[in-house]
Amino acid sequence: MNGKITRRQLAGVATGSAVVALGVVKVIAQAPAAGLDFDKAARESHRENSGTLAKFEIPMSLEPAFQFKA
Amino acid sequence: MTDDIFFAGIADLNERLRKKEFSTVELVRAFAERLAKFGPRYNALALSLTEVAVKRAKEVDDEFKRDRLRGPLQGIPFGAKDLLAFAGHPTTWGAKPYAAQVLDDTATVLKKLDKTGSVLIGKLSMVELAGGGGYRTAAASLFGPGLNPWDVTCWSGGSSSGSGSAVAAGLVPFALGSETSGSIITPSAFCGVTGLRPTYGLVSRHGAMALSWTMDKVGPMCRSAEDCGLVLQTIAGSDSKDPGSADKSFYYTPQYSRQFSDLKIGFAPDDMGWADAAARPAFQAAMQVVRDTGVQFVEVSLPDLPYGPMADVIIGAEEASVFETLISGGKVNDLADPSQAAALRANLEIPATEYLKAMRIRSLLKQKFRELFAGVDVLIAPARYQTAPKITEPLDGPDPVPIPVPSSPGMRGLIQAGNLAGIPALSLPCGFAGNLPVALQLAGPAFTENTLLALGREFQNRTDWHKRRPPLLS
Repeated sequence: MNGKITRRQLAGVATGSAVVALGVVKVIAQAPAAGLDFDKAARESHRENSGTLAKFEIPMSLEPAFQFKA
Repeated sequence: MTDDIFFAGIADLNERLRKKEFSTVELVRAFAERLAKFGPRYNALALSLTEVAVKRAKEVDDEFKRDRLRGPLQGIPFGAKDLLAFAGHPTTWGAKPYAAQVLDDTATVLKKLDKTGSVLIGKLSMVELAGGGGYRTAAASLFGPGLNPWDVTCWSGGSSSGSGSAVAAGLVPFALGSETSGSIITPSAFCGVTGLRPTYGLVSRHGAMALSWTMDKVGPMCRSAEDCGLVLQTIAGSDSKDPGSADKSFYYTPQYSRQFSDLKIGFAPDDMGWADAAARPAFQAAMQVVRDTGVQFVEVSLPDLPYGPMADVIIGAEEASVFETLISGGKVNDLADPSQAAALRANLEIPATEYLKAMRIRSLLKQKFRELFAGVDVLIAPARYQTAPKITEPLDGPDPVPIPVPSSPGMRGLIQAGNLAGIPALSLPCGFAGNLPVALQLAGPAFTENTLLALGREFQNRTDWHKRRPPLLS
């Protein structure tokens, strides 16, 4: 294992996600410590999500889960 | 009254009320005073309602005197997460921008509980805006970090922080929480209480703060699976004021649940590798207890879908719409966690096509879960793979001790996947890692709460983890 990668980070990768799911806690990419730019980190997180979803292929006929019912 | 009262189950308390061992006023006053005294020590109390509660308790006592019995919740005090509106009293949503908010209607779930004679004694703290935007510190709350009764240097979990710690410390017999993506399961697991996330639409959200219209659920956090069943029976049901209502009722009938020998339980062996080393023995022993009920264990894996980005985008887009005025007006900057404010601002820029893509994949997810549940009846996994973190640690920080990881993700994505699918889940305390509780999660197809509760009840008949009491601060 790459010693620089933590289990928590890998879990995010494993679920294709940047989210740890502590409630709705997000692991913001390169989580900013004191004085860093949270806005930039949030936008970067969006870009990552966007990239992951863009790569996911779905059939043209698939409709969104509108009127969501379990 | 002895201290045992504060850790008694709902049916026991109700029976003693009916036998007139004590009155509703005495019970309500005892709990309300305890909540007011100890609640702030865990940062669990948002609003004490002692005066209102005692007044209501007198009315309930009158009903008992006239033998007007309204079921097992009659006379039982409870607390509610501060995202539920209680007319004429502050409802802060855990956030500074709403600290003075007073709403003029009462949440449907609170009305339902009132109708059965259950008595609201306090509003309980929560992560600001139920974690909307995503938060990176336990202190992301108007009330300060939720402190865990098992170790006050650790977090109680979020976003239903006060509900978790108040039930664990015996400050309320039960509490209401809410979950969009883990907010009942996480604090239940961290605090060692039994929490139920109901099927989407089974419980009305009218009067609850909206975070994500397609994912929000309200559910009970209690001492046992039995108590969760009793509370769910009361709060479930159709509500024309909730557009997401499934128009279904729930009757707690564990006696009619399927034979355990007929149940197939899906598990992922790699889950043990993901769990903290200190928690593994507890998880393994608990899994064996479940096996001993006679159920069949079947190896499964979750559908391979991008749960995290889907949840991020769906919740992000919906919460940005809900809080557009707060964000655009700049009041979002008053939140305690600046990263949360930044994420909410950024969420306003999520393209419609991206939201729709996530919702289209969600259709696929529902289909994949239907296929998964064709082969198993219940999924089982650790509710949280780690114990509660220290309140001083950033929630997005690295693990203290990185260890080798398993080859598959196991059920790591079950909280997000389950929330996206809208299926129910039950968190069951199953042991300790050091001085902190750990818990199992049972998840099943939509509207199979009785199956989960029956299995949870059987697990709790065979164990006593749910009866353990944390040290109370002196």
